[in-house]
Amino acid sequence: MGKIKSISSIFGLFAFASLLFVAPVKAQQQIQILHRPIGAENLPHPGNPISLLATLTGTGSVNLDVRALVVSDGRFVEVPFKKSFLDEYDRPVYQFDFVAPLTDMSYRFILKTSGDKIISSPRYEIRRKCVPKISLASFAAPKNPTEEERIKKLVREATFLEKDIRNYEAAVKLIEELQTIIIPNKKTEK
Amino acid sequence: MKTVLGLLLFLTFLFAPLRLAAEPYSIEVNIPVDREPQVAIGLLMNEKTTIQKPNAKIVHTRSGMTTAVFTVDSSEITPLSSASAMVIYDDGSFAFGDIRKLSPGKPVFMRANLPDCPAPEVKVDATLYGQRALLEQLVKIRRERIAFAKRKIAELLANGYDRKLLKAEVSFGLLRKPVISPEDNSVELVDRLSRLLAATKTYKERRAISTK
Repeated sequence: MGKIKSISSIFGLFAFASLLFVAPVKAQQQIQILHRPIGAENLPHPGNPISLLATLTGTGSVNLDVRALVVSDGRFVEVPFKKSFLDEYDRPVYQFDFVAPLTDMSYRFILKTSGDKIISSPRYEIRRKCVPKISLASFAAPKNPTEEERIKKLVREATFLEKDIRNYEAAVKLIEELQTIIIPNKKTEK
Repeated sequence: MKTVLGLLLFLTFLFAPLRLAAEPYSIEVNIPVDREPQVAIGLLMNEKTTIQKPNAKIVHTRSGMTTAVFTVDSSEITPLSSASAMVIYDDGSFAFGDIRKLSPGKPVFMRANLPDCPAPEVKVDATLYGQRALLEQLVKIRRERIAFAKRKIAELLANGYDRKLLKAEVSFGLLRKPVISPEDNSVELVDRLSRLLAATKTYKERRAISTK
């Protein structure tokens, strides 16, 4: 009987020790940055908005210094995250809003931890197979169009203009954001 | 006959690596310019040497960038090679381009060589024939919406705000171009503004951290 008691107390002690050590180990778990890249075929029209989502594992914090280092059409830009939230598995997700490139973009996410350590995601690359048309003038129209060709031209024009409107309206919002928050325009500060 | 064939085969194997080694390798480097440069020089940087490639081609890409395009021999590229370019203006001033990492055997992605996308395929069925007037109306409305957005942009950029944005772009080292205008292509307009917003936000965040 005494032997059984001592075995169960050893097990109890072991269980207690496990609880004591498992929690800190979990807290020190390596943070990883997960991301599902967009395929080139899913890239929206150049200039239209795109959202890049970076999911972190090994942490529950939504207030970390996560950034996206983007090279869009060959030019570098550092994008701070727009918002962060928890997904259905309670993992923090950081959302980066930028605009679709004309031809290509490559990017990686970096996380600066408290100890000045940098955690980086792999480098992702998206390349279009061809250059989309970015002006109405680039749609060639036949000289003496048939009724079918006229209709086709109208459909193409309407579709293109819809994307163009999105860009001009985004430009208005961007200037307003620059004006009110970042670089105030003295004339508008009344 | 057998000997001749054997000799030919031997020579082919002997010179094949040389032929491969001499293969031209095209490189494209972005250069931020504020005016038309006079000449461009390609630069191939290896571990200890920098090889100059004069008479690089100056190409204006559709994304609004100016690039220098030049070729080097693939044999000149080592695992540590990178490339850049410089342009010289007529007044003697110069500007340097981005630095691109090169990989032997792996071609550089050439934006200037990408083909144009074909016009989207449109299927015209019987119902569309009857809706021509509606389509014309739709195009008209969309054009008016664009004109309205352009007027709004012009208002927002008035009173010298366009110059203020340009000053910010220059101070952040972004593309130097004429002032932002509502008449710019919508893609270029939104691209410039998003870059400026991202740069300004990053700067503000960094400044806030450093003053803490």
